[in-house]
Amino acid sequence: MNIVEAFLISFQAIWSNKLRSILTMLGLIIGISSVVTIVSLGNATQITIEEELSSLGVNSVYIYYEKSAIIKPSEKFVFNDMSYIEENFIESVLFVTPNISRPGEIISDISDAGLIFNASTTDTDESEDLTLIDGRFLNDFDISGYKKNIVIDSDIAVELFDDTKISGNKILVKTGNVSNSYNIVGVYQKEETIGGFSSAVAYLPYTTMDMIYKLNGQMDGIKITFNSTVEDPDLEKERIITAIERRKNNLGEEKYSTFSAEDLIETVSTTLGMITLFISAIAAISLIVGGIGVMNIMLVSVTERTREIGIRKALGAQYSDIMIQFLIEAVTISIIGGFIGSIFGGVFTSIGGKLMDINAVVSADSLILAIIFSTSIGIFFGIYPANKAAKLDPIEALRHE
Amino acid sequence: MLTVKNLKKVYGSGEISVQALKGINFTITEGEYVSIIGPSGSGKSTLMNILGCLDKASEGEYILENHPIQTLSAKELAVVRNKKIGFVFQSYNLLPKMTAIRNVELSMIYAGVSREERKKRAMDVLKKVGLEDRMNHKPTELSGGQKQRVAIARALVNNPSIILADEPTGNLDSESAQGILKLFNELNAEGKTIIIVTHENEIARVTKRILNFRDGLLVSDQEVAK
Repeated sequence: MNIVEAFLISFQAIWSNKLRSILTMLGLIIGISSVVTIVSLGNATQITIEEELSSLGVNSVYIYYEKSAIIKPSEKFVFNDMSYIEENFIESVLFVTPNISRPGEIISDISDAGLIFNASTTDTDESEDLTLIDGRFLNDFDISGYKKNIVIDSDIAVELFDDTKISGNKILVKTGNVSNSYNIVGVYQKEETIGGFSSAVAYLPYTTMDMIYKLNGQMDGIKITFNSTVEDPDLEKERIITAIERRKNNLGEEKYSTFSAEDLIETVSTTLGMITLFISAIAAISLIVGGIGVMNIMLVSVTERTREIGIRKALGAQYSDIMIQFLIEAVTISIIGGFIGSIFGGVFTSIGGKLMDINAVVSADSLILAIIFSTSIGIFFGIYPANKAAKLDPIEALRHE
Repeated sequence: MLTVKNLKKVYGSGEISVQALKGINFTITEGEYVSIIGPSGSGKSTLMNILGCLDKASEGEYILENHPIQTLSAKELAVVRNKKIGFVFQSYNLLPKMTAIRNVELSMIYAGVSREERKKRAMDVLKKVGLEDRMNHKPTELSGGQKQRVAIARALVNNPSIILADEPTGNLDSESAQGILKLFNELNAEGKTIIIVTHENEIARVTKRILNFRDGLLVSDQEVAK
């Protein structure tokens, strides 16, 4: 018996039990559509996050203290390290900015808010890619004068003043138990981020931060923004670290580590990939349940059609003929289920993409995978019932009512 | 063309074993019209299953067209059933969801006959049994006699060596039964070898030779006087 013939017979069998076939397929439809949706949305999220992260500057690198290392006071980053790096790597380095963040509070007449203070140079607006919408950013005069001037984000501005055009206003900055009056010199546009989880950040002159937080001129880390003409930021980063190590007399002791947007992208990608895989694995369980459904209905079908099997055997059907017939029936149910599931997966993906505001499309890979997967399920869960049918004794089967 | 020698069939084993056939010998030559008769428990159904290659004898020989059947594998037996034997059953055994022509095509599917050829041969044979206007009807839309004609058409279509009919008129009214027996007569007149298994003497008398079974033994083998 040829395969085309077997497919025709199986279509006939599936069609003559429409409701039952559809219910059996439902398990696979749910399983395949969820796997396709999860994989597609996961991939789309990953791509979107990567794009957003790289727009934050793949050209920059943070230098920190190695976590496990014991750092002597003489080995800490100090403010004049910044000008040292800028002067010595003038070709490759665009900006060097301090990396110092401290929690605090700001209080206006109307309201108050908790937020993070970042120590800034006059370049921080550019190195952080800030868009000012009111006033100005911190200038040399603010830095050298230890000015109590502050730049806040638009969300905080609206929260405190109900407006973004508020530069020139005064607010109270509370750090620990001390409160001081500050001038708002500028407001920058708060960027929307995926998921909306990001803390409010305000920028202060690093000199002022040094004073109020008693930093003794030391920094938590340094952010270096490279010139876009730098071909190999990794190599440049190593050179800078070596220079710093020479300066701190700890060459080769590996007391400093680096972190770049590229590293972040890699970490986020890996994490997201694992989360997607994990959720897919859970969804895949429903595929196994669906497969068991296929096996169940095939076993019912074999019992119901025992006499038919007997007749076919009496007319000359061999073991392989009956085996192929029932196996193909199981595979056909699974493939149709997989196909419908893929269509639903596509629909869910585009709905999910719209809701999450990301550009999500079903990838060809996930569709091919879905079809291969559903075929395998059909074969795997179809073999036992098909073998049971093919093994039937023709005399017994013919006697079956 | 068909010889059984000292054929025995035992069901079960040890003390609870039942000897259904206790050593049977006969030969049927080509073109014969034979009935196998006997009450229930006589072993005639067991013999029919063995002759139809659905079952194997426990002992003895069964030779069909020079093939020693008892040496064949299950796969080879399926081929023999397909090519050499045409079954006609008491309860027709048509597939209910298929039209008459599809039912007739069934055994040709397993013989690997092409689609066009199948259709042509099925139509020819259905015409032969007088069902040219019922080809696209399903079994539920056919009378008992018509169903049995479809079954006979199906049995004939691979041009088998023997037609093996098990109580072919058992479910039919006497008029339909007469029609079926007449059809067998015609087929035999054309040279077909036909074996009818029955418990009714009137039907056996229509054939040309009666093999009478009782308690697993062939008790008489006689020509029917016409």
